Order: sequence, then structure tokens, then C-alpha cells
Amino acid sequence: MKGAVLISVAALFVCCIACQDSVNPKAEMKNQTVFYCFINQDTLFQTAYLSRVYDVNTSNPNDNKADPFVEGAVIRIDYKSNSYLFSDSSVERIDESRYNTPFRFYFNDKLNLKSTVLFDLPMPISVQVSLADGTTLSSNTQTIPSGDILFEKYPMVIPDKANATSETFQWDFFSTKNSVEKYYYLSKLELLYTKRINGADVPMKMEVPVKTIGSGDAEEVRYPEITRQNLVYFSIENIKYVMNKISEGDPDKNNYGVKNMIFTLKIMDKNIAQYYAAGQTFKDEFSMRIDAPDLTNINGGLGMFGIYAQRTKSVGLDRGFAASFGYRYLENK
Amino acid sequence: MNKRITLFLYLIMFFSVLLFTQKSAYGQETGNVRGIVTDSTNGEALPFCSVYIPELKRGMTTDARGIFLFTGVTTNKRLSIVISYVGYNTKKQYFLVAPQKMTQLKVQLSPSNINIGEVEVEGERVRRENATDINLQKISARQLEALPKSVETDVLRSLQYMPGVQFTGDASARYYVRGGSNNQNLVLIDDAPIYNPYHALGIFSAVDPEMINSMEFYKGAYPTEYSGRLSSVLKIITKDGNRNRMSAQGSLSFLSAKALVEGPIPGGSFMITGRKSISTEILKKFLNDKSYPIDFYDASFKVNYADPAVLKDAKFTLHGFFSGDNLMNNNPLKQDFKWSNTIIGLDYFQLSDSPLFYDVSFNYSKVYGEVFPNDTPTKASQNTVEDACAKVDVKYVYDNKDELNVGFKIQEIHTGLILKNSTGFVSDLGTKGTEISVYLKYMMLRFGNFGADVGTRLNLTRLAGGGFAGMFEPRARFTYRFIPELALKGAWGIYQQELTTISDENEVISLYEPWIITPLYLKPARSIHYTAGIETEFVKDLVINFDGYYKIARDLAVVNDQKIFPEEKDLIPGSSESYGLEVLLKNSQNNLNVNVSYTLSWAFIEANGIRYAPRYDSRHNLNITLDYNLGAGWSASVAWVYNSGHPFTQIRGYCDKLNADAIFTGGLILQSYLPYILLGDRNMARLPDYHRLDITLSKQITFSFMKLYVDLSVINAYDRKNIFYFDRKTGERVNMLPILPTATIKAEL
Repeated sequence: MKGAVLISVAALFVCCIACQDSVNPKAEMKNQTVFYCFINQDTLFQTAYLSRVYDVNTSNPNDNKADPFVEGAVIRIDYKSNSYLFSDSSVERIDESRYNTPFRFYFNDKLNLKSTVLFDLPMPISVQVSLADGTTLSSNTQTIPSGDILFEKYPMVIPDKANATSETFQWDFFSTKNSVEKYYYLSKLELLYTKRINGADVPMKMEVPVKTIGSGDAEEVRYPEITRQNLVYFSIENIKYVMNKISEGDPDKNNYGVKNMIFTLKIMDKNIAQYYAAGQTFKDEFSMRIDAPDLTNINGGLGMFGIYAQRTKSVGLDRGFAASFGYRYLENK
Repeated sequence: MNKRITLFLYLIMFFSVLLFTQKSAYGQETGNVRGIVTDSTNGEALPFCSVYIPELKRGMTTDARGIFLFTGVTTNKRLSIVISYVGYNTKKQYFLVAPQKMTQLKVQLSPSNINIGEVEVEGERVRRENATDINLQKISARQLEALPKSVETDVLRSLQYMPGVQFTGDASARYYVRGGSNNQNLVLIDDAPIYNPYHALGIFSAVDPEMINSMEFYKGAYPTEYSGRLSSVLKIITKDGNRNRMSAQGSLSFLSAKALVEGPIPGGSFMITGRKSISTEILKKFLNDKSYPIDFYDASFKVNYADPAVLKDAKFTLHGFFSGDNLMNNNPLKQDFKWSNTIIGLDYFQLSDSPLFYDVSFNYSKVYGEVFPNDTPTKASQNTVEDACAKVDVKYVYDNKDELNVGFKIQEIHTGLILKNSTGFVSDLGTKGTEISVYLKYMMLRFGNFGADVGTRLNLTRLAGGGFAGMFEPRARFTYRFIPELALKGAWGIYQQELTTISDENEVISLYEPWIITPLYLKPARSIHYTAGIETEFVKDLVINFDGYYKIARDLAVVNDQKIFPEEKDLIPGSSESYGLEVLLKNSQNNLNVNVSYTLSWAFIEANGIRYAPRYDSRHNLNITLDYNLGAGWSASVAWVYNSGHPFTQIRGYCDKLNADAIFTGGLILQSYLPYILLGDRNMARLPDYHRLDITLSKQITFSFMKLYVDLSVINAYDRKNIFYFDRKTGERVNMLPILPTATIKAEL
């Protein structure tokens, strides 16, 4: 009898401990507001998006069907003792897989941050968001003296006869040399070309990589990353790689016309640079990482307020260089 | 040169004078007794044996080489010595000691299933009286074999039954000691460091238990002889090989096949082991039914030469260890990985007519790891560590039982870490450095109920360079026995570490953790250990130990998880704090051994201004192990492990996040919003508790020509659904090992 009781107790114990304890992967949701505004310094038209943090009963956030947009907020940007208020608007939503309402946003079309004078300096710019419930969000950054961007080194024509191995693009700020280190840069070099399709020359472009790895099916190309360095190199081999690539598999090289290359430089503040770069990190499939840092610079809420600008430089192609690939050389018109 | 170093040099001179001038405190009427204890069947040295002279009521244990030494022994009187060891017949031997002479004894113990008796326990008690052994666990090969088997006997997994040692689950043999991270544990094979002691994604140990004679495990505040890690030292002492006859073993499990050959050679012995994985099916159970093409091997050898005609009272040893793991997917869309360890060591150990021991060793250890990205976006990398170390350790035992230990070490380490960044550029973050250090330790053992050792290391150089370092690592340990049944023990020490892994504690599985020398822009990591404990034996055969610890570390090289740009530092200085209470209960009666350990602990890391509990922190840890000799070759063991839940970070909601790619690809920024998981405060929540019951039934069958050992085990006997991790993206709960029956068979010729 005693043995039977003991066995029963043991069996009950095992049943109790063998079961699976539930785990709650979710903490209590905090009602927070998320604000995104990336100021494009090259235009007057600026947009901002304000939404709420939400939760779903599942672990798939795509199950949320209620548009989290926050309406009725007052968004004000202060710049050089002027205030700019944002209005709300809406456009037709492109992707209706989650929300079937129009896409709503805030905008301002009078914020002119373009440099009008040389020797411009970075100027403080701040944003304040006042919600209907009394909550206030704020953030700030500085403008980029993009009018003062000086290309210190770049090829007049590609390939540059003075530099046989690579083309170098280097830039600086004309007025405030030290400010070059305060910003982040993402560059792009593209070949502009045409391809004759059905008798018409269709304009196309292809980006030049900074590195090509492998070949054939295992070929990988790498493009410039965000950096604080104010220069970038494109090797002649990679430029040739693109020159060949545009007509790969097509024996009739005369179908192609090349004219010039465009160097595009994106200049951004640290906020946008970090935000962008954080999204580029990855892990191998075995390293199951469970936490990742959130990036925010919004006081009183979440999100990101930043500023960016763009400069471009057109560089011609050497006529003989183009001809060596069998392409037509397109005269500048 | 600063004052502290001058003082240290004076201390060395002072103790050197003591070493060569101090004579017997007992005048001409004493002598010394030195002996070695071996197994009668194979001549293997028996470490940690209890050695007792009843007439003098003096006892001690043999060291890792099976050697004991009594100084200041009364002469011209017939004395007896009683040697006992669990699993062996106790032996009593009589001897006479001549004045001012070294009397040498050789004792052979024959294996037995009878438990130790009264005299031996008394000897054990005397031995323990003033031993400054707080934080030290000694594990013999027999004890290791008695533990429940997780597929196979596993060296590192056996540590989880000790208080103060944490594991993160079934899928990793990585261990965490008293709040320290995994890379703060030093693992030595015959004094040579092994940098990657794991097989198969870290699930199993790379060290084959068949090659082991014994292990010493310091959980903290370890003595001055050891250096280079902030938390713990595991010293694995390998077998010498059978000195009496040629013998061979072969064994088979669901994981691997292995063999051991050993035997005598003229003037010595040799041992060779080898192990090879034979199936990956069992690994699927550990990895949530995912199949990985893992292939591994390890091999070791040891050759001893101790011919008294050539080397008087000396022993020369050459040993090696090699292991390799390959994870080759044979699929261009998946990464491949490769790891290997190479260790070669030479050791010369010399006894002398005076109670002086010295040991000169040279060890070379290399670890190599490589990631082959194939056509995946994984970044290619190669990591190499080459560690060449020469050291001299000298021990002198005074007549009054005090000991002086001095040592010198010079270590040259080259690390190579070749990384390809996402633009394909190759950079070599490798470096090399030389560390020169000396140590001095004085052990005061002259009082029967009090023992203390005080010493320091002095690091003359930094591995990262920068010229003369002059960094001290002072340490002290003591034991005071109030009454035979009650002792107070304590230890304190400062420890330094200059090598670190680029490991991310946030990863539930991280199979590639490259080692680097802590860069010069960071200070060397330093930790301070404070430990105090009480050892009791108020009830016969029931030892209960209570240990408390407090450990802080500064300038830890922590992976900068906020790093975004290449020019930002990979490592930032962090700090840690841990404290806890450990209780260990040991009872051996008749044929039953019971061990119960409980740990109450807290661990915190602070980096980037955030203080959080690391992933391996567990508040409560309870382990119960029982092994029972059923007789007639049958034995059984049971282990139950309980850990309160490990920390994890909860989801605190979702938001629609701007996809910044749109800016740079020229896309439309206006509607580029994607759902994003928002995390709560780091590691503020706890996973459910972990517990697991393992049972092993063993049978030894003896034939005239061979012995056969069969082990049948059930891992996770009641099929507990222990959570491994929770995948936030899919919502999938991934559990650890389900109930798993396994078997091993071993034949010994």
C-alpha cells in the first residue's frame, strides 16, 4: 500500500513537472507615438509621418488592420527664427495588404533649407510635435552646408589618363573644412547608356560596384557603404566590368550607346546614417541573435528626425574607351 | 620602476634566501617522506588519494601526479602510512625515516568495489584541516564516469552539477562560472590552453573523457600559479598510459566511435586516443530537428619517460591533442565552417633529495576557425590563435610544512583575424604580443588548524604591447578550522585577462567566436574575487559546504552592439558584478553517493550605460546526483537539474517603421513603412524554469580476455518541454532536447 502511494505521488509529480510552462513573449504595451521626418534639403516639400505603437494578438504585426496614423497633431519646425507648420493630407495607398484606408501624412511645402550664400554654416533646426492628448515630441539636428560642397578630386574624363588604376572622387566643404567629419556619405557612380530596342534608343543606367567577387553564377558585386570618409575609389576594372555587363550576351555591340557617368553623393547627418546603417546589419543563419538595438532620437516618443542632401557630378567617357567596347559614342547635346 | 615592483623584487630575494637557508625546525631528528601512489593494474598515477600517518596524525592528498610529501617526520621510529582512494582497496605500509634523508615510497592500490572505511575517513579529515582549497573541486576519472551520461560522458557538461556553474541549456556545453562569461574560463590540457574546447556547434566537449586521469576545477579566486582568465580554471590531467601491459579500448555511442591504446615503453609508457563522429542524427535532437552536416574528430597522445637509470627522480613527458570540426553544407546558398585545435607540450618534472620540486614546460596551442560564406551575405573570416608558452614552476616544502612556490612564464601569442567586409575588402585585425610574468606564493601550513597562502603575480608586459606593464595580481587564501567538524575558509584575488572572444551574449547559438588580443585602446580586463565559506561535517559522512562570493570586473571587452559604422570600435569597456551563495551537500554511505548543490546567484553586466542580467543568469540552481553500486557489475546514476528561468527581452509592441532604403535607392519615401518589433528593457523578463532528469544504468561484464561496459541512458526522462528560445519573427517556441534514450558500449582488452 505504502509503495503504491509513493508511486502515485511520484507519477503525479512527474506529470506536473513534465508539462510545458507557457512563456509570455510580450510585455505590457506602452502607448507611444512614433514620428518620422527625414528632411530633404534639396526640395521645399517635406513630409512627416506620425503613428501609434500597436499590438496584435498574434506574433505577426501584419495582422494589425487598424491604421495607426495619428491625426490632429501640430507639427512645427523651427529654423532661423522662423516656424513652419505641417498640414495633414492623404494619398491613395499603394499597398493595401495591411490597411485599406488612404495613406495619410503631414507635409510642409515652404521649408527652404537650400544654401543661398557661400561660406554657409550648419544651422540648428528643430521639430516639435504636439498631440491632441497633450503629449509633446521633439528633436533637433543641423542643416548641411551642401551649397559649399567642393569636389576636390574627380576625373575630368573616364578613364583618367593621369590615374591608370582607379577613379577617385574626393570632396570637402568649401567653407568649413572641419565639418566634413560631421557628416556621412553614400556615393554612387552610374553609367548612363542607351540600348536600342525595337529601333529606339532606350536610356538606361547601371551602377559601378566597388568590388566584384567570384564569377559566373557565384558572382557577387558590392557597392559603396555609408562612410565618414570623404573619398571613394572605383577601380578601372570595375568600370570595365559595367561597360561589359551592359551588353553581356549581346553580340551586336552597336546596339549600345554610351555618353557619360554620373557620380551621386548623398550627404546625411548622423541620425539618418545610423538609422540606415542599422538596418543593413545581418547575421549568418546559425547565429540566432535575439536582440537588436532600437534607434530613436525623438524625445517623448520613438522615431527619427534627420536631414540629408544630394550632389551630383557628371563625368564624360573617353571616346576611344567607349569605342574599345564596340559601343557608339553619344555626343552631348 | 615604481615602489610596488621594487617591493616585489625584495620579496623574491627574501624568499629566495629563505629557500636556501632555512633548515629543519626539528633539528637533526627529522627526515622527509615522499611517495607516489599508482593503480596496481596499469601503473597510472592516482591523484587526490588520501594519505595518512596515524602515529603522527598527519594527512594529505596526493597531487595531480599522485605524489605526496611529508617533511619534518620523526626518524628512527617505525611508522605506518595508510593510503586510500574511493574505488580502491586501502593499503597500509610500514616504513622508517632516516634523519636528514628523503625516504621514498611507492604504493600501488588495487581496484575494489568496497567503500572506504573508518581509518581512511579519519585521514581525509586530517588532510582537510588546513588545506587552502576553497573554490576547488577535484574530479577523478572514476567520478566523471559515475555521472549520468548525456549521449556520452562529457567533460564540460559534468561541471554543471557543481554549485556556481551555469549552463544555458541542452544545446551548448558552454559554461558560465559565478556570473562570468564563457570566455573567462581557462581550460588547460596538461598545462596547455585549449581555446575551443567544443565539438559540434558547442554541443559537446572536444576533450575525450577516455584520455583523462583527473581534473581540477577552480570556480574562482584561484591561486597564483594560474593566470589569464577572469573567472575559472579547469585543469585536465591526462592519463600516462598503462605501465604494466599493452591494453586497448574501443567504444561506440550514437554520436561517435572511439579507441584508446596504451602500454609500456622502455623507461615509461604511452597512450593514444582517437574519436570520430559517426552520425549527426542525434544532433538533430539537440537542434530542434534541424539537420547540420557536422563532422568532427579528436585525437591525443602522451609519452612518458622516467627511466631512473637515465633520469633520476625525473619524468619527461611529450603530449599532444588535435581536434577538428567541419560543417560543410555542400550548398552554395549556405555557409561552411571549419575549426581545429592543435596542442603540443613538453614537460620535465624533477624531484630532488631535498623537498624541492621543479617543473619546466613548453606548450604550443593553436586554434583555427574559418567561415566560408559561399554565396550567402555572410562575411568571410579566419581566426587563428597561436600560443607558445614556456614556464618554470618551483616548489619547496619546509620542514615545518610551509611551502614556497615561485614561477616564471613567458608567453608569445599571435592572433590572426582576417575579415572581409561587405565591400569585399580584406582586413587583418590580427596582432601579436609577449606576456612575461612571474609569481610568488608562500603557503603557511605549519599550524594544524590554520592554513594560508599569500602571493602575487606580476605581469611585466601586456600582450597588446605598450612597453612595461608592471601589473600585479595579488591573491590570498586561508582556512581556519575551529573544531574538526567546522572550518572557515576565505579567498581574495585580483585577476587579469588580455584575450577575449568577439562573442555576442545575445545570440542563443553562436558557433564562431574568434579570439583576439584585447586591443591597446582598451585596458586589460581585471576582476576582483571575494569568497568566504564554511565547511561542516557534524554528521558522519555528511559534508555540507556553504560558500558566498562577490565578484566585480572592470574594462571587460564587450562587443559594441551599438556599432553601426566600420570606423566605430568593435569593443567597448564594460563591467560586471555578480554575487551569490552556494551550498554543497555530499554524502557517501555504503554503495550510495549523493551530491546536492544549490546556488542562489545574481549577475549583471553594464555596457553602453545599460545594466542588465546576462543571458546565462539564473537566480536558483539546484542539482541532485545519485550514483548507486548495485553489485554484480551493475550501477545506476540519476541526475536532476533545475534552473530558474534565464533572462530574455520581451516584445513591447509594434510600430510602422520608415524603410530608409527608399531614400538611397531613389524609391518613394512617403509610403515606405514596414512593421517593426519594439523590444522592452533588455533581459527584464524570465523564461520558464528549466529542469531535466537523466538516468543511466551501467553494467560491467568481465570475460577472461576482455571487459565490456554497457551504459543505457535516458536523457530528459520525463520529457520536460524546456524552452530554448522564442522566435519573435515567427512566434515559434523552440524547445530543447526531448526525451532521448541513448546507449554506449565500451570494450577493454
